[in-house]
Amino acid sequence: MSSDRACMLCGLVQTTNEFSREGCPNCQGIFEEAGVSTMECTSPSFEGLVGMSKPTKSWVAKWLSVDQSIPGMYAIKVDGRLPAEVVDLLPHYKPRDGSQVE
Amino acid sequence: MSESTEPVQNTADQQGSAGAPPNAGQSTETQPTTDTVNAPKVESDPSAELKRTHEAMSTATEERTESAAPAASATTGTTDSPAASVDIKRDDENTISASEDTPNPTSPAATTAAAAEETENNDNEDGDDNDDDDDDEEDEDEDVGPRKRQRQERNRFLDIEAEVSDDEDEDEDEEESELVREGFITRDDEHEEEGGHGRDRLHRELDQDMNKSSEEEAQRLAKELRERYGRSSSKQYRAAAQDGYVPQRFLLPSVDTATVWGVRCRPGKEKELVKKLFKKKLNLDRAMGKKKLKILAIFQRDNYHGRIYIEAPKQSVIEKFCNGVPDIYVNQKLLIPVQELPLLLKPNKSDDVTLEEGNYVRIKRGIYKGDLAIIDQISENNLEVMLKIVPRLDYGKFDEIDPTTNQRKPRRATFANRAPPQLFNPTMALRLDQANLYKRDDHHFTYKNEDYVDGYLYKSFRIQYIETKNITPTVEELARFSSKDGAVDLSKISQSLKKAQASKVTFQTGDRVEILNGEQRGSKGTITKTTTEIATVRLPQFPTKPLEFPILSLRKIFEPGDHVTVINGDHQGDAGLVLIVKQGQVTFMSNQTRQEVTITANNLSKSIDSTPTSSEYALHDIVELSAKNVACIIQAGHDIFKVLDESGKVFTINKGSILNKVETGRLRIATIDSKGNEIKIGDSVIEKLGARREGQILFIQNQQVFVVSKKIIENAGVFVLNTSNIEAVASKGNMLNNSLDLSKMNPDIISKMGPPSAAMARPQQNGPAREVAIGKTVRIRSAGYKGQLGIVKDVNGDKATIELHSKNKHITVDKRKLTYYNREGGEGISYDELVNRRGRVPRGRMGPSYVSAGAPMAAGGPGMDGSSSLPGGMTPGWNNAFDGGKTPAVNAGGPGGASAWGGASSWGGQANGGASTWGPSGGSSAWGGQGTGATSTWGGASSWGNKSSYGGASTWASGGDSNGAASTWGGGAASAYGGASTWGNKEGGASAWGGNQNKTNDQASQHNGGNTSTWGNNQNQGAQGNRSAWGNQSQHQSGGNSTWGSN
Repeated sequence: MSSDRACMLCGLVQTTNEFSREGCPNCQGIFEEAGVSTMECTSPSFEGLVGMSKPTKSWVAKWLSVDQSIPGMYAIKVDGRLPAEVVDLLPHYKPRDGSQVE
Repeated sequence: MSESTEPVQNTADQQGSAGAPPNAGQSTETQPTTDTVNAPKVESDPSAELKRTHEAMSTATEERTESAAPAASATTGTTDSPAASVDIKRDDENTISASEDTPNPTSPAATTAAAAEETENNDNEDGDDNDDDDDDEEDEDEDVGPRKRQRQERNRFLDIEAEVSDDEDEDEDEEESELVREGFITRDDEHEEEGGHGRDRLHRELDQDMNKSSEEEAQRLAKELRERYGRSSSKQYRAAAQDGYVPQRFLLPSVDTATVWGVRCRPGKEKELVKKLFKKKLNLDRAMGKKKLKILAIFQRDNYHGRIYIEAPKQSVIEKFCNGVPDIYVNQKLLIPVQELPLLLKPNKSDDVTLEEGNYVRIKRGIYKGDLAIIDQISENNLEVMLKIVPRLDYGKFDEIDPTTNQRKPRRATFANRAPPQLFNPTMALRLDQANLYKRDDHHFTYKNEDYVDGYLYKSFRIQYIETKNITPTVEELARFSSKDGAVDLSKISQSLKKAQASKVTFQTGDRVEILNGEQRGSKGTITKTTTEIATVRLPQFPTKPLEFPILSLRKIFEPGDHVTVINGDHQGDAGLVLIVKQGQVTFMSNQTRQEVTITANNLSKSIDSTPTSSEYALHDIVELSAKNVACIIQAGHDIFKVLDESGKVFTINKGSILNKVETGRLRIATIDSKGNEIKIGDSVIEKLGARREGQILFIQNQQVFVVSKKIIENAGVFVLNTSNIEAVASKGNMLNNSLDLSKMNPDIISKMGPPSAAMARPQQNGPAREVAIGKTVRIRSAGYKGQLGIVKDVNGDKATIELHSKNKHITVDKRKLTYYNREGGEGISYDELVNRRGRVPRGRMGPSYVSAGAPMAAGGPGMDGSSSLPGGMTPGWNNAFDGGKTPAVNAGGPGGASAWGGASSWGGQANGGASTWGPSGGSSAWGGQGTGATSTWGGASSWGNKSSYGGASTWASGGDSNGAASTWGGGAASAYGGASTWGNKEGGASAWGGNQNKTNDQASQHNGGNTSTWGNNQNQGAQGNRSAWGNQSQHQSGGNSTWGSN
């Protein structure tokens, strides 16, 4: 459990190894483009575990904005801040650390 | 549809060609397309047209590929290149279908047929597409198979106009490819129609132009990316980057879209279960093939223990799904109301505190577990914080040294054996463990690879190892932190205590507030309504519709110059003028302490009033500071009071040091002023010496009187005087009825006015005098308490308040229905009599007076008794008249009865008993006065004395002549004074007596005994030898009396 990390962009939860080996299957393209390492964009501190089996159909997925992502484990809250390079690429980026109140 | 599109197409075409020229190259490039598209419009045979179009397309495609790709991406709002590559492919296919479709207008029937064909065709192509694109959409949809899709598609096709506009926004990803295609259809149609889309086209062409150069590059990149990460990554990329920003509120769930069930499970197993169930779901999917359970998502939240949530459209599915999984209680499940779902999935828990530098936190692990720390820095990614900690170091004191190898084996620091917190001590480290110490500069050391600055340890912690919520630092902990850098930053604590404090914050209607977060962040408005949690705020930008905000997200606005009152916290009750407002911290100048106080804005409220005062103590209240000390409040605050104590000292105390308030209204404290007049609380008095300040008595404490004057500003008009320095001006009780005539109070004046007549004398006594009845022992004659004894405590008009002897009770009775007694008992008199007594007419009270008169008289008593038979009423009369006076005077020789009228003094002497005897009889105070100095009342007496020519005597004499003396003396008791008159008759004797008195006076000054004898002698000479007997009397009272009596 302690080796798990969550992607700060999409919230996908994987082990640290998986992240370092393969990156985030959802967001790797962006990380590459921004020129940042996957580790910088993932956080060991997250809360609220979601097993997302059908992101396209699930309202939960829509609410968490993972409806475009692969099925998998996601976190509801991911602490941490994405590097500025990534945020700059995404005009509508919604942080997952609860810092945005709507 | 066809009818409607036809005319539009024409216009659009014109516009299109009109729009084209500006971009020459563009138009030539697109020309072939337009031709192909235009062609069917001219031709009426669809099948022929189809062929032709195909041919045309084949030639046009190469050219179009370049131009269409960006155009297509523009339609979907896509500008990035990786996506483009996909689109390009679609475009090719779509172009074909589109151009094939275009003939439709001319023959609807053929259109449908063609469309059907095309759709089939498309489906196949789409199938390919799907393989590439939509890996993630298999499941149930595939159960239904292509037929469903075909149907959908056809419907869509027939409803192009509506769909186009709708589908642009909503992306139902499954249909994405079709959407794009349809988008293309419309686009292609546009070429024929142009119509309202002319502008779009312009844009597209512009984009085309712009992207042309980068296109190849982008394509290459897209391809590369696709190879590396498959489609999903690029898709996600696109979604995240280009999807129109959809505000969360548009995603709010409805009953149709979201069905989430909460299922009970064993607490603590939630995460494990989510993982397990998710795995199970994946396995099931694999195993079940086409028949898949509709489980959409499974999740848990840390702050909802013993629950996991499953998103599934049907309840039965969950039961089937969870069957056989331990720790989950499928029977206990309930549908989560849709309105609660957003809350359930909110990223932040409501009590989360945002990390900010300077906040107080606690460490969760390691040897510093539970220790307070201050956030010094927050790492870039918000995951680690640099904490400032008071270190716990033992400097290797407990290190074990291996005796053989002489190697140090450091003891592992654990929570159990950690050292007490203490600032880093470089000296200690240097002495005990030099090897691990590096000095960076004077304040900065590195010890055991950790940094110590100014004695504090700076160490980085992961945020999951620190506790940020509800930190309440103890004073000790704060002291440890503040020992070096001075002031404790209370605002930071308040931030940590945000929640606890926020619950107390009170907003009131009309408060001006600023919104701290959310969409309206930074706006300022006025509160129109509040509840405990939510405030309704009217913002200037939405004047008609007030918005609701959680109270936590509001901050009150103050401006310098506002008058504020503190409503929460340590300074509660303080008030003052706002000086500075900075970041929600308001600094104001306290009215009470004259100090600057800085406080969080939300703990303040605007006030009009000046300092609010304590409800318990107010200005001019008399308060007890200790058992013996009282003070008068001269400045009242909420918690701080300025008081003036009985010694006239002014000092400031806080509420805690006040024992209680003295209820002066109920007290009956009285004392006498410098002239012996009774003064009590509320009376007006004037300072005798000094400033002649005037005022009303607030309180009397022993010999000190608190006086308040409205004319004096200093100390709120309160000053303290000694009773000896006070003159009574008016008594509260009698002020109304009696006008004051001070002259009447002055014996000198009175005496100069001539012999005191009865008329004069009485008002003189009654005027400013107090109610005679007060303080008397009485027996009640009226019903109810008849026969009971008591003491008169107060008289108000005709009503006397009596404190009963028998029980602790005050009753009110008509003062005339009381019998007044001497304290020693004896005979009672009526009120009227009592009043008369004040006129110095003793009457019929001598018996008791004798009794009480004390030993010498008592000794004479029997004699008297014997004699009394002789003179009858006379003797007593005599006795009465002088009794006190004379006899004792005679006796005075015996008791050493004072001077002169030793009479007087001897009265005093006798007053031991005599005075008291008299006292009760009525003129007690008067007599008392005399006793003290023979002044005021017996001032009369003094006037006697004054009459050196024995004026007194003459007075007496005169009185005697006219019997006036009798009347004077008689006062009211003429009959009794019969004796007096008798005496009066013996005028000669009297004169002789008077003469004697002269001598008496003289001698009196020298010798009392002599007086007596003289007197006695006089008597002898003046009238009868019996007098000598009298003289004897002086020696032997009883004998004397009898002898005299015989006279």
